[in-house]
This record gives sequence, structure tokens and C-alpha cells, in this order.
Amino acid sequence: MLFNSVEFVVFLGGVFALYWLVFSRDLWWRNLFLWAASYLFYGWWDWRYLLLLAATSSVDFWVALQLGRVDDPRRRRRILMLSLAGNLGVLATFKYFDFFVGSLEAALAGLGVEAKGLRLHLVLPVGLSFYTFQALSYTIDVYRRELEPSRDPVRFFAFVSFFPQLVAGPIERARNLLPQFGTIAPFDADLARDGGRQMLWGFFKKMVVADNAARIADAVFSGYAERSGAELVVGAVFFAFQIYGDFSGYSDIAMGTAKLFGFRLSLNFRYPYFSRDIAEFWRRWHISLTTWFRDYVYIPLGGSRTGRGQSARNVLIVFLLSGLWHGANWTYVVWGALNGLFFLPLLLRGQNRRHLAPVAAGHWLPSTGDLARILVTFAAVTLTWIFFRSASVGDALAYLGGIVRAGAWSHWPAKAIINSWGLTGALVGVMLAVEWVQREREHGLDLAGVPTALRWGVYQALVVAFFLFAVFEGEGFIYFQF
Amino acid sequence: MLRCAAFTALSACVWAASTRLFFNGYTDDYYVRVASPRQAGLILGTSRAAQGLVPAEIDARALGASAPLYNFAFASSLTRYGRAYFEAIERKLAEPMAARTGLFLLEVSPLAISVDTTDAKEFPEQQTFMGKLGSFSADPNVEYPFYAARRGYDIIDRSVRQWRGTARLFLHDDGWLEVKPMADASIEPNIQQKLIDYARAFSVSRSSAERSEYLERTIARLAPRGRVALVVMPIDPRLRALERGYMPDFDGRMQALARRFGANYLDLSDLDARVVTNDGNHLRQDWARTVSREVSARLGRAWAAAAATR
Repeated sequence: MLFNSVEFVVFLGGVFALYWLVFSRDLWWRNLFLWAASYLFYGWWDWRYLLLLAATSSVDFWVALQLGRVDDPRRRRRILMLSLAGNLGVLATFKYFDFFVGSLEAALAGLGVEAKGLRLHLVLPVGLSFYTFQALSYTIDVYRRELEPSRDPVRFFAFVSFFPQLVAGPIERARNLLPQFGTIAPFDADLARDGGRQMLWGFFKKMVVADNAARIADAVFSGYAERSGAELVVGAVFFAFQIYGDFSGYSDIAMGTAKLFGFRLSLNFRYPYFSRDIAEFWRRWHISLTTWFRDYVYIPLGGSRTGRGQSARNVLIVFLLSGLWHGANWTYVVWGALNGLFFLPLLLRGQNRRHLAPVAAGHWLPSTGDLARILVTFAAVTLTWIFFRSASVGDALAYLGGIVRAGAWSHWPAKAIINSWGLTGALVGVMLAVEWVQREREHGLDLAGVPTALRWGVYQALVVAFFLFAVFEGEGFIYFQF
Repeated sequence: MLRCAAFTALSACVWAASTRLFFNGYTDDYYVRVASPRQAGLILGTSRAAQGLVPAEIDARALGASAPLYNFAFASSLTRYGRAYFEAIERKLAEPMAARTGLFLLEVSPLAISVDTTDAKEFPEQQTFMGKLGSFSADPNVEYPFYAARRGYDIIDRSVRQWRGTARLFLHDDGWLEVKPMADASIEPNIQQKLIDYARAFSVSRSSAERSEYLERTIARLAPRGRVALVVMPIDPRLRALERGYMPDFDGRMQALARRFGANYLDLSDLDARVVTNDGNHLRQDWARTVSREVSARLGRAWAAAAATR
């Protein structure tokens, strides 16, 4: 079920009430209840997906137990391979098999060889990319002896399937989340209130900002050949805010929901569009995925401890894999490659860790230099988003070509369209303004310490914003397709 | 818990207040109709009736009704005859003050009993507020905003127009949608575009047995409550020709339907060449008043003649 649906509101209310009134006194029953609630949440899409989730979770639970018992390095490696093969095999089959077969068919067709009927036409289970990576981080950490294997299957299954973050992250590390399933904390009203605020902010970013930006972006991308240069630029910019509002909004809702139950999930976004270079952007965007690739791909490959050439290779591999993780389309690979190419000069010049403190720390506004860097970084990121959003690499190149072709800027859209852009732009502006002011806090509505009357005024202003601008027609979240 | 309840209650109040504050006859084409009380006499149909039949110009009491008419017609995308509209009408109906003194004018047209064969959903209006609202007479209708797409843009844009005195549309309290006349130079291009749109629509439409059945059920539901008249609105002659080419037996079918339920069949197509429309399909506001008076006059004569022959 979608977060922005009546079903979820009813589900959450029921689970919250039962959790705190009935199940929060005993750890085992608490975990069993969360496991059941999470499976109900996930099975709402399609109960058959539960079989796959249960199967991969069972394999990983068993693998970790064996890793806890076996000392021989070669045997441990073989046991870990089971988890890797299981999780990555499932991911490869459901997500990439038809993509690579399709590419092979196209290549063979180019050589005059006809090859058909090889595709499996499997539907990608929701959240597969997220929970497989989460489970892999568990088994790899156990293999590395950085974590003790869980001997409680109920606790482990509840951890893997925890509904707030099951379908679109954050990709939680077991060392952060699994211990939380091993303790019961009493109801924390402050944490729950903060969770409620974070959820409200997440819903604002998704339903007011992202879904309105989506209408403009979708209209432009679907008919880009007839659009002027200005429309194409605007379409790309609005997509940049659509994907940010959508994905970071989801993460805020997930984190806020978890807080209602006393759980703390990892931060997944730290105001990435205020980044001063691409390296900082990738420390602030989809943090759980980039740190996963850093810890389980980049560092094992040698990271930056090897020579510059190998460091560059490792970085490119990570960005290409990150692109591929997003989906079975060459557009994602190109998107990843572009980001890698933008990152490389910073790495090679040793400037990829320049901006570690929040921008304009202690000041109201950024310096002129920082503002310029923010805008240039945003422009570079938005350029890569064109590939991410386009249906094919050809479409993306044609889109870019449309911006710079002769006569692209000779006409402007109708006034009504510009007014529509302006209003949506104002909504984006509100989001950016709030997050700028709150850039050193965990989320946009982190209002601890703010007077009550002002806080409640902000809440009700958001209610009016929802009234006027929220899209209620049940738009899904972009990252569900990954 | 107390704070949560207080927040929820306050938010609900703000939502209701916003509904009352932001939705009015200028800012939304439909809201007034779903927030007005239940009615004992209704004008039903698509936008031809929504814009073309003015309740204030139809002397319902002179026609034997115990209450004035209310225009509950919307648009072709919302109120073709079907389950959604039928159930909405049921939720809008009030009992007449005296038995069988209601008055119901049902605008009929070929498209109102047709479906678009290219639409994946055969009855798309089910997915709109027409198919989803629980009440059509709640004031404020706090459910309505959930189904009104683009409401923020429209509310702001139209409020500015209202403030500037350039508002083109106004939904009256009696449900009539008044559209300010367009510049004369715009009318013929509008008609040409409408002819193209209708030709395309007819090429992919077919008569719907289910919609026809719901038209019958609507008449059957209303007939015991008072007088029912099926009304064919005047339109541009070129558009009429397209309609007759699409559904040649339409007139015959409507006449037979009216006879079966003892309803009147009021065919105003004889006015096609005289009326002025904004776009070939919707009467200009002055002609809406004129045609409404004509409806009143013709029905009055028809019912007087029927009474005299009894």
C-alpha cells in the first residue's frame, strides 16, 4: 500500500494502537507483531511477493548462523557466496535478465541473427533492490565478524521486513537497526511527535511539491520534440525537484513512521541541492545507497588506498553499479557514468572532501561564491537527471539537443503555462526556503524549541497548503520501480 | 494522545474552513452544486444543460411544481447517464412538499448515452468526484477538495480574475453556470474546433446499452415524484448534422422512452438556426435565458393541452 493512501492511514493507526497498547511489553511478541504487520503491508501489493521475501530472508538467516559457527576461511567464503548468489541472483533474474537479453537480441539483430522468445517477462517485486541490499549488508557484516549473527528468527525477519523502510529504503545496516529489535523502549512522546512532524514534512514534499512538479516534467518529457528550449530546461529542473521531493519525502515519511514506534532509521538525505560540488552532493543524496557501495564495493576494491588510476577505476565502477542498481536501462548506466565523470576531477585533484561542514554555517545566506557553486552543481546534477528520466539514451540526447538547437529559444509558452510554472515554482521555493533555514537540523519540520503557537501555526499552514495544492490521485513513489 | 486529537480536530476545522473560504461560484465550476441542499426539482444532463437552462427563467410553480428547479447538470465527462450520475441524483433528491409535485428536466443527447471505445475505463466518471462523493448536499463539502484536481491553480487564477472584474465563469446558487459571452470573432473558430472534436468523438464512440438503461432508471425514479421532460437543446446546425449522422434513430428512441414513462419530449432543435452559441454546443448566456423561457412556455402549453383533453 502507498504511504499517501487512505489504506495506509488506517493501517498505521491500527498498528500504532495495537503496538503500544498490546504488544510493546514483551520483546518476542513485539517483534512478531511487527513482522506480521510488515508482511501485511508488503503483501497488500501482491501476496506472492511475500514468498520471495520470506525465502531470501530464510537463506540469509541460515547463512549468518553458519558463518557464526564456521571458522575455516574457505568454508566461510563459500557460505557467504550462498547469500550473495541468492540475493543477487534473485535481483539479476527479476530486474536485469530481460534487459540483458533484450540488449543481446538487439545486438544479434544487428548482425542479422534473429533471437526471440528468450525473455522471462517477470514483474519486478516492489522493494527488491532495497531489501536484498539490506540483507546482504547483514550477511557480509557477519562474515567480516563485525556483527554477531542473530539467533532469533522472529527478530531477524522483523528487521528485514520492517515496513517503514521495506519498499524504498533507507537501506538500513544491521548494526544500526537490528539491535533496536533487541530492546524495548517505553513510548517516547517527544520522539513520536518529532516523527509525526517528519511525516508531515515528507507528505508535503511528496504530495504538494513532487506531484505538482511531476505534472510539468511529465508533460515536457512526453512531448519534448515539440517544446521550446525554455520548456525543456524548465521540464528538467522540475524533474530534479520532483525526484528530490518524491524520494526524500518518502525517506522522511519512513523515518517519521519508524519514530512513532520508537525506532531510529538512518538519515538518507541531507539537503543535497545545497551542495557546493558533486562530491558533496553524493555525500548528501541517497546516503544509505552510496555508503553501501562505499563499504561493500569501493573499499574492498581498494578504495582510494591504491594509486590514482585504480582509485578512478573504483569510483567509476561504483557509479556505474549505482546507475545499474536503479534500473534495467542504459539511461541509468549513462546517468551513473556521468556522475562518475563529474566526480573524478575532484577525486584526482584531492578535492572531493572540501565541503564537509554545512554551507553558510552560522550565517543566514551563502556567500556569492558558495551560491555560484550551488547553482553550478545543481545544473550539473540536473543535466544527469535528463538521462535518468528519459526513456532511452537517444531520447535524452535528443532532449539535450532540443535545448541548444537553432531557434529553440525563439518562442515562449503561453501565459497560462508560465503562470502554472510560477505557482509550482513557488511551492518548490517554499520547500527550499524551509530546508535552507533548517539545513543544520535533521528534517524540515524539526521544530524542537520553537514556541507552541508558532509550531501549530506552521502545521495549519501546511494543512492549507495540502488543501490547495496536494495531489490526491494516488501518484506512486518513483523509487518503488527500483 | 490529547495533543494528537487536538491536532486532528484543529486540522479538520481548518480544512472545513478552507473549503468554505476558497470554493465559491467563481473559483470552481461544480462545487456549489455539491454543497447546496437536496432539491425537489432538478435540471439534469451535460454542459449543454449546465449552461443552457437557467432555473430562474423557468417558472416551475406555474408548471405545477412545489419547488423551484435546481440545475444539477455538469459536463459530458461527468454526467453522461450512468451509475455514477444515477446515484448522485438519488443523493441530491429531496422529497417534494406535496406528492408528485416535483419537476425534472433531463437534457438528452447522443453522447449522453454513448461510451468512448478508446477509453480503457468504460465509465470514467466513476473515478471522479461524481462517482466517489458520499454526499452531494454537505455544506461545506469537505470531501470534494480531494477529488478536485488543479484546485489551487484555479482558485488563485480565478480569484485574481474576480478581483480584476474579468471573471468569465460564474456558478450561480441555483446551479446555472453562467459563461460570459466571447468576442464575436472567437465564435466561429470555436465552432470549427468543436466540430472537429465532435467528429473525432463520434468516430470512436458507440451507443451504450448500460447508459441507456440508466437513463430509463433515472426517468423511472423521477416519474413518480412529479413531471419529467426529456429536452433536446438547440445547438449549431452543423453539429446537429453530425449528431444525426452518428445516431440517426436518436429522436425515435427518446420519443418512445418518453411515451413509455408518460414524460414529455421537448425537441428544441427547431431553434438550431436561430440561437447563438459560444462554440456551437453551449448557448450564449442571453440565449440560455431565452431558451429557458421557451422551455417554460412550451411545457406549460403541452401540459395545459394534456389537462384539457382529459
